[in-house]
Parts: sequence; structure tokens; C-alpha cells
Amino acid sequence: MTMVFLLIIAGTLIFMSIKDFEEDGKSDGELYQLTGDDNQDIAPYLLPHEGPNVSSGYLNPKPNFTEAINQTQIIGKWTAISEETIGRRINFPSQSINYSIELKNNNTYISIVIGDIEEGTYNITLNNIIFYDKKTNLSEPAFGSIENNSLIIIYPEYPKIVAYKRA
Amino acid sequence: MIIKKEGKKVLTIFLFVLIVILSNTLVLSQSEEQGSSSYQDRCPLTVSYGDKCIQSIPTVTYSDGSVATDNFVVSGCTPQENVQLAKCAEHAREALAKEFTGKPLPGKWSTKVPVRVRCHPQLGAGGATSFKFDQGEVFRWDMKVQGSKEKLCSSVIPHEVMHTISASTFRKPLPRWIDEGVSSTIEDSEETSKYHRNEIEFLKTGRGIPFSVMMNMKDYPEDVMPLYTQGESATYYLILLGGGGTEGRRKLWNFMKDAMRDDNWDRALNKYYGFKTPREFQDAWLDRLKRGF
Repeated sequence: MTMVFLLIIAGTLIFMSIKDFEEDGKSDGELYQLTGDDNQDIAPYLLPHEGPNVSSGYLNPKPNFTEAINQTQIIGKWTAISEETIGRRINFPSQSINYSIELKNNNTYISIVIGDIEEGTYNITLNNIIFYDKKTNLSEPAFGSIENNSLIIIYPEYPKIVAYKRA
Repeated sequence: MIIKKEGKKVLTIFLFVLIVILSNTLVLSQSEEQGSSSYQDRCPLTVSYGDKCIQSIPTVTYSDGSVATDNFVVSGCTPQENVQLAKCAEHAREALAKEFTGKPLPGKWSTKVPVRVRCHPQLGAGGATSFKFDQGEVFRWDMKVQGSKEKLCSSVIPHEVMHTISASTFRKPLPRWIDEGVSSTIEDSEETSKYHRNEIEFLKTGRGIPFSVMMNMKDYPEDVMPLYTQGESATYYLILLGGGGTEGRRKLWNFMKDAMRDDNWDRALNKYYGFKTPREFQDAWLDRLKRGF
């Protein structure tokens, strides 16, 4: 009697699962995909408690490009006050280091980094500044913005973010 | 009795002489073997500044203090520092090409790569390499590097030289994530640890880049630091999946070669690593990252 009862229950369950399968017309794998998060463009993230508990002690701030820069804002000589690379920020006390950039009206520039002088021309489109080195005639892309009266230039190839103040 | 004693003495002396001769022969043959191998075979993949094992690399010092090797001309530091940095660059070119491709680059470049160095302990480590692609050829190299001389040799110059190896091999621009990723994985352990720590923090502060976007990115994003850390981490994960070390690097290189044939990274990713989509790759990488590399 118990055996018959169990067989009836099992049969009913099998029937119900087959019916569900037929109604959906999908395999188990496809059902999983529908219920899973299938968005290809979701950025990876970690919750605060996830992953190794690390502290770099320093994290580059996310750049804030809210407005396009224009040439008149950036004309003049600027002295570097800080430089950020991956995992390292250096604040230069005023005039302690020979590190500056001069942007001129005629779209030419002179950049000095610890005695290394580079001259050339530049072009601005929105926040993009393309520097063309006179010596090599090669271009170097950069992003520029004005934040709190400082000129921020991101050199993505290095990568480094330099904050300049007016000289 | 006396004859027996003398016989033992003679036998002992004979054995002693034999051992001396055999050991000398062994030492000689070993040193000959070492002499016949190239200096790179005895050097690690990346070397430290002034490393003894690269001192046999020939250099020429010019009157302006710049220093040339077969493929590089280094200027910007003192002539002595330029010598050491030029040797680092030449070693990196040979060792990294062998490590990833299985063989050195074919011959010298037709023109030496100018390396302009900003050598200062107060500068952050970094560098940029520019070149032009035209009709499948690479030319007009220009390399700018900055940082302390130690960091330049152990990380910055190998990173930039790796870009030149990629450019010489593929003869067209790589997607940024893997171009920077491959170059960053060969930096010293202090730098790669920084990448890992920063990547965790970027992911916890909403600065991660979707792999579907990252894998096709040809230009740098404005928020550039996460591209470097994520590119390094994703590339390192692929090297691990490929077996780690030299085996993993060579599999990665073959994957890159295959993807560059038709610029189809999704297809090559599936073929070499079994991921059907960039998202599947992203999820697997993230899962591994949570557990720690």
C-alpha cells in the first residue's frame, strides 16, 4: 500500500516537471540564464567585506571632468605641485623641483621635467590635449581640466596625473 | 709485510690523484658550459640596477654622455647610469621576447630606440613609448621613462620594452587592456602588489570597467588607473589559467596572436580559455580575485 502511494506521488512529480518544461520550452541551462544576471555590460565590483582585506594607503581620486576646458583658461606658465602614479602621490613643495609647463597662445608649449626640456605644439578638443613633440613629431595624448584654480593634466600612457598651479 | 704496506700507500696516492684529476675535469667542463651559454640564460627575467649578470652586454658611450647598445640609445642620466639602464633595456628585449614568444626577436632593429630618462628619486615610476605603424611596419620609436634608477631597471624599462616587443610582433595596436596588462605583469613584485591592492580598492569604490567594454578599448579612458590595474589583474589571471610562468605566458601570447588575426577577442578567448563571453571571463576572474591570487 505504501509502495503504491509513493509511486503515485513520484509519478505526479515527474508529470508536473515535464509539464513545466514543455510550457517553458527551455532547457535547464536556458532557465538558469533567464534567472541569472545576463547583462554583459555590468562593471565588476566588490562589496566592502569581499575579497582580500587590503589597504593601499593611497588611492588616486577619480578624475572629475564636468566641463570642457578652453584655451584661454590654460594659457600661461604652470608649476607642478603634485604628481600621482599608480599607488604613489608626491607633493612637491613650491619651487623644490624643476617641473613645469608653459602653454602659449600660438599653440606651442614648453614642458620641463627635472631638467628634461620638451617643446612642441598642442591641440585641445573638449578635455583632450594632444601634445606634439617637436623633436620626434610624435603625439602624446592627455586629458586636461581646471579644478580649484589648478590645471590637472592626466598623461594616460605613463600613467601619471600632474597638478599644476600658476607660476 | 713491508711490500703490502707500500702497495697500500701507492694505491691511496693513486686514488687521491685520480679524484683530483676527475674533480678538476668536472669543474673545467662546467665552466666551459657556462662560458658557451649566453648571458641571458644565467639572468632572471628582469634584473636589478647594476646586476652582475648583464655586465657583458656591450655598450658605446658618446661624447654627450648618451649610451648605445645594439638596439637602444639612453640619455638623461649620468653616463654611468645611462650604461646600466641601456644594459637593462637590452637584456629586457632579449629575455622578454624569449619568455613570451620562445625565441629572440629576429635581428636588430634598423634604428635604435631613443630612451629619454628622467632620473630622479622624487619622481613616480612611469614611462611612455610612442611609435608609428605604417603598412605593417613599426618605426619612429621614442621612449620616455622616469623614476629612480632602481625602479627604472626593475620595472619601468622592462614594461616599456615589452610594448616594443608587442608592437614588433603584431605590427598594429593592441587593445589597451592587454597591451598594458602584459607589460605590467612583468614588473617587479612591489609594483605588481600595488596593482593588486589598488584593483581591490577600485572595485570596492565603483571604478571597475566591464570586461565587454575593456576588451575592445583602443583608447585610454579618462579614469585611467583602473585600466592598468584591471588589465594587469585580468592578464595575470589568464597567465595562471594557462599554467603560470613561461607556459602561461606563451599560451597568452598565442591567444593574442590568434585574436589579432581577425581582431576577434571573444572568439579567441573562448578557443584558448573556454569562456563563452567577456562576462563569463569577468565573473571567473572576479571569483578568483575574491579568493586572492
